[in-house]
Amino acid sequence: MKKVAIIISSPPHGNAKGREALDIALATSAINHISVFFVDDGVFHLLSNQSPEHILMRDYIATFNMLELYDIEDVYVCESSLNTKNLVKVEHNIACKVINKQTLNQLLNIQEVILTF
Amino acid sequence: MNDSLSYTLVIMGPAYGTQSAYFAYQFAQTLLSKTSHTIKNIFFYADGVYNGNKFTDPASDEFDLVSAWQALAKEYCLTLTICVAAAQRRGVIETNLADCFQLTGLGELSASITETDRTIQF
Repeated sequence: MKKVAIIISSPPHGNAKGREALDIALATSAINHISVFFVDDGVFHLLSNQSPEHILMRDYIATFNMLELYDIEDVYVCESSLNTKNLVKVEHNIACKVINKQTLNQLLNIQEVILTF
Repeated sequence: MNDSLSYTLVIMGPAYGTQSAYFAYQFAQTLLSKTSHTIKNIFFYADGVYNGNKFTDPASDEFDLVSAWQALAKEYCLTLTICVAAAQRRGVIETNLADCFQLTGLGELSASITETDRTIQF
């Protein structure tokens, strides 16, 4: 069992990074302790009612609800990234804890493996 | 500081177009030839699966990364594993899978992360 952080800093839909990050989070959660961090453009994953079918993409964001089913409870979003995108007051589609940069650094410090997407 | 560590390498860059897989190769080669550390698993994910496409055909004066991975795997008895789901989406399947590469699942990566001392992503 290792403490593994999955950092999602890419926006959804422009590339497959968020989707493949989610796949890794779910697949590795059986034998590792997974924490997920949404930072930078990754915070756009938290917007509900997205319609990726218009750009011929599948709505994989709905699958983020699987995190809870897989007992991945350590899901965090960077407050300053939300601030930058003016998304502080927007309701999130996934259960997550809003954390400041200091907490983010502290949490990343205790991880054994960090994978960035 | 003479303790040797075991490594998992996660490669997400393609065989051509970005530097990351080339850098991963240089890292792996240096680690194996100049240190006492070992590599348990080299796992190709996302665009990294293109490293296992045997149809990759660089010009004669360019570095052939796919062949280089194969030579490295043979020399050091390494496992080159490719995420089957990521590979299928990108058209890397049994038919065009280069020698020494194995299609596998993310469970393999998960186990490898657990069992090794260090995991490095490229």
